[in-house]
Amino acid sequence: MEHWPWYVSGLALASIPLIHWVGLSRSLAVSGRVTALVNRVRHGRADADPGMTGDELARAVREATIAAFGPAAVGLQSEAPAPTLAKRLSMLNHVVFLLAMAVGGFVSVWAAGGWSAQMTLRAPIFSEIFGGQAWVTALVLGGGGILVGFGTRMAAGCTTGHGLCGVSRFQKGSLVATAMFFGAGTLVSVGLEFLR
Amino acid sequence: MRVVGTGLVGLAFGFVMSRVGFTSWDLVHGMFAFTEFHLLFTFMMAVTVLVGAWWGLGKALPGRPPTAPRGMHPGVIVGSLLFGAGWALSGGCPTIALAQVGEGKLAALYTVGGIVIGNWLYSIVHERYFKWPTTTCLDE
Repeated sequence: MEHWPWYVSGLALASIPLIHWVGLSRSLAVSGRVTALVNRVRHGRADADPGMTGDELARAVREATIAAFGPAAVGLQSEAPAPTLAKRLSMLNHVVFLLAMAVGGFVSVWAAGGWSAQMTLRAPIFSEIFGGQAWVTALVLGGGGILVGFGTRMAAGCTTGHGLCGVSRFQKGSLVATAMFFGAGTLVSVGLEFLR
Repeated sequence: MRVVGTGLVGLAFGFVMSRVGFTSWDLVHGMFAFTEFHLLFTFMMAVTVLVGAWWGLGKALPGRPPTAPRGMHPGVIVGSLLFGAGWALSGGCPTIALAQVGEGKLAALYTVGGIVIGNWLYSIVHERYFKWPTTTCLDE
């Protein structure tokens, strides 16, 4: 399958978070949806994750106190506005979104003529580096996947949330996150080049 | 109806990731090792377009929900380092891995399984040891 040239690719890639934000009033999130699903399975309830930190709750309570009794009640002028808790998306919404991404991959390959399934990544350089043994592939991909899942939850964002959306809004955390994951990726990939 | 819209955006995302070439382990490897610049240019182009688009949208739709800041906390640095290493090994960020499965590159099922396990593991570790907030992009 031919890939789009980089300028078409860049435009297409940028359109996804825009459509998501305009159409669904939310930032595009992928690891966040995985987190929501894992929480649901772990705790059995969608809202078991409190959704607010202690600090946020304290601010919200103070804000409500000001609303009811005036600023004198808390002895302070107004500061940062209290966060409002966004309405939670349903679990169905997350499942549909994640499965739809797989369907998108299917449609892409199928429309290009000829979908087939193999237990590989169909990547010659990957095979060159790691060889063709099934257990090595499982170990590298499974182990890498664990790092991805652990790291994206720890950093509260992945390529989408930090790399695309956060960087383009000049968010400090996202700029740092993107520099870190790109740097680590470069270190590992340059190292892997020596195995070729 | 909201679910239908969500599904369409997800489908478009998977399709674009496939056509762009992000689902190719070899191209991702080339991007990180600086031996292949297609994905690097693609990513920089996308970010540049988004910078202008957020600005324009902010002017055009002032009443829309603002996007919350994504600030620093200790997990950003360590988590992102782990994520980058894992991405370079598996070739998959969460979106890529799912799109790869759809493409018929079924070895990516290992990546997807690993991502779920890793996410789960971190939630346990976080509850025991860490205290910083773990809001995601969805909470914006």
